[in-house]
This record gives sequence, C-alpha cells and structure tokens, in this order.
Amino acid sequence: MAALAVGLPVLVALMGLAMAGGGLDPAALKQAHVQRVIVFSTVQAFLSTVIALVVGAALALALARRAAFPGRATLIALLSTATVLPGIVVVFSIVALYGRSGFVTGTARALGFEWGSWLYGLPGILIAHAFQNIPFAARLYLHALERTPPEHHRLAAGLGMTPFAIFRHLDWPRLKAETAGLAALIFLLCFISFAVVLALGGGPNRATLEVAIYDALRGEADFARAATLALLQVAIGLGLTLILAWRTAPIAEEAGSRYALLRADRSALPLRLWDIAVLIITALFIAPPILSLLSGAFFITTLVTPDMIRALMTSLALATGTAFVATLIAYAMARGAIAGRRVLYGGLAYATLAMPPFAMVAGLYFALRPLANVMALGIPLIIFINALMALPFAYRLIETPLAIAHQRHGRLAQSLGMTGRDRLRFVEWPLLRRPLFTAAALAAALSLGDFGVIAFFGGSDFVTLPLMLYQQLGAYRMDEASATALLLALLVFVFALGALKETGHAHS
Amino acid sequence: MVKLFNHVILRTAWPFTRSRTMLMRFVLTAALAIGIAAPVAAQDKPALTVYTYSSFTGKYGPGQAIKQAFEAQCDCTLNYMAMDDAGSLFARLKLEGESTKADVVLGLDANLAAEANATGLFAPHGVDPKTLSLPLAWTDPTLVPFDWGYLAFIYDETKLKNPPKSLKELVETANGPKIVVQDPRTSAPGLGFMLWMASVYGDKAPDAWKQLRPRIVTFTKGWSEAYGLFLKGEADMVLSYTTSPAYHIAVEKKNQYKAAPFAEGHYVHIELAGVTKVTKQKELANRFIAFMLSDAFQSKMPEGNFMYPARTPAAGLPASYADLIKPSKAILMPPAEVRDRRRALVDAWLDATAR
Repeated sequence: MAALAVGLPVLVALMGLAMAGGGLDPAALKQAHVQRVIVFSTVQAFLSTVIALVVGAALALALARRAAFPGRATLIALLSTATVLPGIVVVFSIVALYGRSGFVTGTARALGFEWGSWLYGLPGILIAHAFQNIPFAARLYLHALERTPPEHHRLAAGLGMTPFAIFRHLDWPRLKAETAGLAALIFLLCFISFAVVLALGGGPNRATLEVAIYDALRGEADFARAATLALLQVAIGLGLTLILAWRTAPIAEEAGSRYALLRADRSALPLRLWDIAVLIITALFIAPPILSLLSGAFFITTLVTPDMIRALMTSLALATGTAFVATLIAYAMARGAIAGRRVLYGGLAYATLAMPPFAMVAGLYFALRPLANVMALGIPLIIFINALMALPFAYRLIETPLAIAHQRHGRLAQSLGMTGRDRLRFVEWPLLRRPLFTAAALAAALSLGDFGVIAFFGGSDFVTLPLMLYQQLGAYRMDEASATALLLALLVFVFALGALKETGHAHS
Repeated sequence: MVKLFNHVILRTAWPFTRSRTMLMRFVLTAALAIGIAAPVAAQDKPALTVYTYSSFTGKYGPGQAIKQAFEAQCDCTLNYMAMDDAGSLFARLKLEGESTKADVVLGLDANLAAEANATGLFAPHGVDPKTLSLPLAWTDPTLVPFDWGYLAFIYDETKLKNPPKSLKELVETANGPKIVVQDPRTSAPGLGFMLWMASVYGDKAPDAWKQLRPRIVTFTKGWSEAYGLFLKGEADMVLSYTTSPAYHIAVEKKNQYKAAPFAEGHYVHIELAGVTKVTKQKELANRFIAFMLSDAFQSKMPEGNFMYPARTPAAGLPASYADLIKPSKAILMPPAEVRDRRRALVDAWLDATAR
C-alpha cells in the first residue's frame, strides 16, 4: 500500500510525460552536453557527500560527547535551518559572506589579501552543499550515537577504554550503519540541486541534469526529451540506493536500560579541546550565512500586510499537512522495510526524490487527464508531492530506529500477541518518538521552503511564503524579500527547536 | 504554533498504526477534508478565465487592479490562473491542448510566439497593428502585444565610471566589467541575450561567447537571482531591461542605476496575449483584449510591470521614464526563426561557454 502510494505516481508521471511526447527520445542521452553534465554532477555530488559525511560525523561526535552545554539545543536547531532554506536564500547568504563584496572577502581585503574571484565554480557549489548537508548528516549521526545503550559506556568506563577504543568499538559501528543510506540521500540531493548549482556554478557545464529536464519541459515543451532525462535521473537514484541498500544491514542491537547516557570519554582533555574546535569551526562555517539573514530584521514591519499573513497561514497549513502525510508514509514504509522489503522501500524513497516535481506534476496531469483534472486537485496534490519530496528525509530518520525497536522487543511483543496500538506504544514509541518529531519538523520545514510545485500551480488566491519571496525579488523588492527570508528561517528554526525540546530527554 | 503542531501529530499518530486499512482511511479522509475546505464560488455572472504568470497577478503586479477595472465594466467575473512564468504558461497550454480552460492567455513572449501558434490553440485577434506603439512592426495574427521592453545591461554609475558603449565593446574588452546574466534555457531575458548575440554576431556568435566568457560571473536560473547578485555587488553589470532604473527612481528614489546604451541596438522583449479557439466566452474574451489595449490597462504597465505599454496611454509615460535611455535600434529575431534555430543556438552556446 505504501509502496503503491509512492512508486505508482512516479511511474504514472513518467508514462504520462512519455505519452505527451509520443515516446522517449534516446538521442537526448547521447548529447555531449548531457554526458558532461552527468560527469560533473557525479563529481560534485561525490565530493559534497564526502565533505558532509566527514564533517557531519565529527560534529555529531562532538555534540554527543558534549551532551550539555549552554545553547546546545539552539545551536543544533540553528544549524538545522541550513538544510531547508530555499535555494535562492542559500545563494544570497553564501554570497553575503564569500562573495566579491561579502564579509569574508571584504575582511581579507582590509587585511591586505586580494583573492580575486574564486567562489563561482566548484568551490561555490561545494560550500553551498556543505552548508546545506553537514547539519542534516550531523543530526542523523547524533540520533544514532544517542541510541547507544548506556551500559556500553558504563562498561567502557569500567574497562578503562581509551577514547580511541570507544570510538572504534562503540561509535564507529553506529556511524557506519547510518552512512550508506545517508550517503545515498546526500549524493542524490546534490546530484539534482538546481538553483544553487546554477547560480554558484558559474557556467552551464557546472549544471545538473535537472536543468536540462526543466529546459526540455518548459523552454521547448519537448516532453519526450523531458521524459527520457527524468527517467535517466530516476534510474540513477534508484540504482544508487539499491546498491547501497544491498551492501548494508542494520546493526544488531540489544535492549538499553533506563540509565542516563553518560559517555565514558566525556572528560578526556585532548578530546575536549578537539570537540570544542570542531564545534567552533562548524558553527563559524554554518551559522554566519544564516545570521546574515538577520539583516532582514530592519524591514520586518513590511511583512505586516494581509497578503503576507495569508501567505504565512497558507504555508503553515501546507507544512502541517506535509509533515503529517510524509511522516505517515515514511512510517508505513519503514514497517514494510522491517517486514523484509528493505531494498524495495529504500529504493522507492529515493526514486521519488530523483523525479523533478515539475515533471511529476506535468506527467501526472497528462496521464490522468481522461480520469480527473489533476491541476484542480490543488492543495491535496501539493501536500502529497511535497510529502514525497520530504519522504527520503523522513524515511531515513524513521527506518533505523524502527528496525532497532523491533530487533530489541519484536519477538517478545509477538509472543505476547501485541499488535497495532499496543505494539506502537510499548515497542516502537520510546525509540521512535524523537525521530518522528524530527521527521515531522523537517518535512514541515522542507514544505515551508518549497517553491517547485507551488510554482506550477500558483493562483492568485494561493500564495505561500516562498512564492511571496520570489514575487518580491521579481519586483525589485530586495528589502521586503530579505524580511520574508528571515521569517522563513525563523519559522524553520522554531520548528527544529520545538522538535528538539519536545524530545529533549527521550532517549531512555 | 509548534505546540499545536506537535499536539496534532501526537494525537493523530496513535490510531494510524492499528492497521493498514485504517491508515488508508485516514489518508483519504484528510485529503477529502482539505479538498472540501477549498472555496467553491457560486457563479451566476459569466466568468472569464485568464492564464497568466504569477508576478502579474501577485501583490506587486498590476493584475488585481486590472481585474477590478475590468469587472467594473464587463458584468462578469475575471479569474486568473497563475503559472510561475511564461515558460510554465506555455508548457501548461501545450499539455492541456484543446481541453484547456483558458479563455485568454496573457504573458507569452515573442520568442515563444511561433511555438505557441504551432499548437493551433489561438484565434485571430483582429487588432490593427498600426495602432500599437512598438519600436518595430508586429504582425502576428493571433497574439497581441500588451507591453514590451528593451534588454539592457544595468550598472551603478557610482561604481562603474566607463560602461561599454556597444555590445562589441562589452564582448571584446578583455579587462572590461564583470557581468551576471541568466541561463538562456531557464530564463526569458537569458534567451533574449543569446538571441541578441546571435543577431549581432551571426555565425561568429560562439567566438563572441568565448571572448565574453571570462567576464561572466555566472549564469543564473532566473532574473531574480541575477539582479540580486548584482545588487549585492557580485558583478558590475547585470542583464535586465532599460526600464529597470525607473523602479529605483520611482520607488526607492535612487538615481545611480543606469542602463548602458549599446550602439548596435537593443534586443526587444515583447509580452503577448491571445484568445483561445476553444473558449466558450468568445465575445467576452475579445472585450478583454480590447480592454487590454485601453488606457485603463496600459497605464498600469509602466510602473506595475516596469515595461513600456504596447499602446501609449493618452496621459503619456510617468515621470520616472523621462530619463531612461532610448535605444537607436530595436532588434528582434522573427519568432519562426527562433523556433527553428533555438535548439542549435543553445547547443552552440553550451559548447562555447564550456570550460
């Protein structure tokens, strides 16, 4: 059922596009430019993924070992904001720092260093992708580290294990178990990244396949070409995740106790200094572009208009619906995965991400035209498609803890005849609470920042915050746009903080 | 809000897990509830559906004032259906074909005109082209211009003292100003600039692109990214319209932003509207086209869309337009030629700008 809900729309949309175009256009794949773009996308997505995973793991370890310092929750929530900011806001924030007239470049110039133009190209793309993905990787790794049964650390302390031994035997297996799925997700996100890659890439060769699909669909309304390229992108997404899902299995778990998690390596001095350095460096990399949005505060009063308030309400309603549907589907799929279809569900969750939303809407419209007017579905369709886009994140967050819950207590629950509500409440909920909230908050935040699907539908009585932002930018209102960007970031921050506070002491 | 949001999730998370059918039922109910909540307006007056782009109907566009003005005189309801830009508008029309709900389509541009006509969706408009105030002849029988503008590079005169005086100077001065332009595949002005280069340089356009390439900071997805990067100081000049300074004059009271006049002439961007063949409101749709060319509509273009009106209103142009540059020559590649050459030109551009 969940597999159908997710897989079918992608399939139908691809078929619809191919129908509209009278078939596929294999010649599109042979074009030199398309091949160059695939090579470049693969390289930049690979590098972006490695950076996000390595730095994300270091940050997660530092946050796990420094489990209580003032402002920890605020810092995590602030960093999480970076993951879901709309692309155009990311571009402007990165440029505000590293651009020709940016803060860093300006400071360097004042100190006598003339750097020239270095941002546009691979550096800009990698910086933006690191900015967007390090926090997400760190969040997921942190969840994994915090699931370590407290006894393990008590034992490690009792045995006098060195910090390295603790890392080797306790942390590393957990990080490793998350890495394959996370790597696939981040790789795919960078592979399909659009506005960011185009703006900071500096040239059409530093582009992605998604640009070519967008062009085929709108610039020329060449649906055969669009369908072919979209099919290729979905195939890449699917293939990638199948390989990774096949290569990995969740780690065997035993039940934890209700002791508080006190890490044995929390007081080693060199490690302390290292962690502080990691925290400061990552915070200095990720926080300033977000804080640069505060310049919008000067114009925040421009937001108090009926249109803005309506846009805010629409966005919040969509975000709530998306959070709800995405979490629900992700949970249903995770249930399917523990029933033994991990590879299928893992692959599906990512295949939807590889399908460009605008191609999805166009394809669905054409395929379902004889049955129903998809465009007239409006809000439910937008929620559904936004939920599909948020699905890989939500699925990534929910799948592992659910599997662990069932490893720990599944057989006992089965022998007790627990099903449905009781199983959720006693077996799954304790481990699933935090990831569910995080997934809902993340899905809501992603939907808040979404522009893709809304754009295709639009309508004067249907304006969301990102659409407002684009209209302001399109009408030269840079000041008002900066206020809207700030509002978006604040909302996302509040969502993330809310999810953290709500689940602050959930690991039992 | 977060509290409420968490509460909803908490309360609703439980029953979903009972079984899969239960789960499905909830999804359906939720979808239905949202669907029903959408307003269903009672229609007794005739309704005219206009497909357009969202910056026209949005808060900062002229759409809402135009809707009121037209409804006041037509005894009808005007409904907009807004896509994100001309490209999406065209894609949607092509997808819908004969089953489109559009009576009027407003917001296609000249570079899309031949492809739009090839769909066979548009009916002749019957407007006499001689009554239009365009810088060049427009004779398309189905699509009528409603506004237009010249593409131009905008600069800040307090920062750039000697802007290039021609496209050739821009292209051929090795240490000239850095520019930011839009990607011709994703943006209308970006496509316009590619055609401008093709019109001026002909077969030599790829070489010209190669020469210009080192000074192009980046190609952005749309106009907004490019203009934003320019205002943030990332480039000395940005591809926009000669009318852009009018915004800074009229709204921000800033006079330092100027368009650089180019000796070869400037490429023209023309925005078009047309009545569909399948409309059931033919008479009303034609009245809208007539209204579109009247002063009530046209007077909203200069400071609503920041484009020149297609038929100058009796009151003339606003004061903010007084000092704008007046290009000596207008350039436009005929729509049929755009249709035939677009793909080849884009491919040549891709090869030339690859590095």
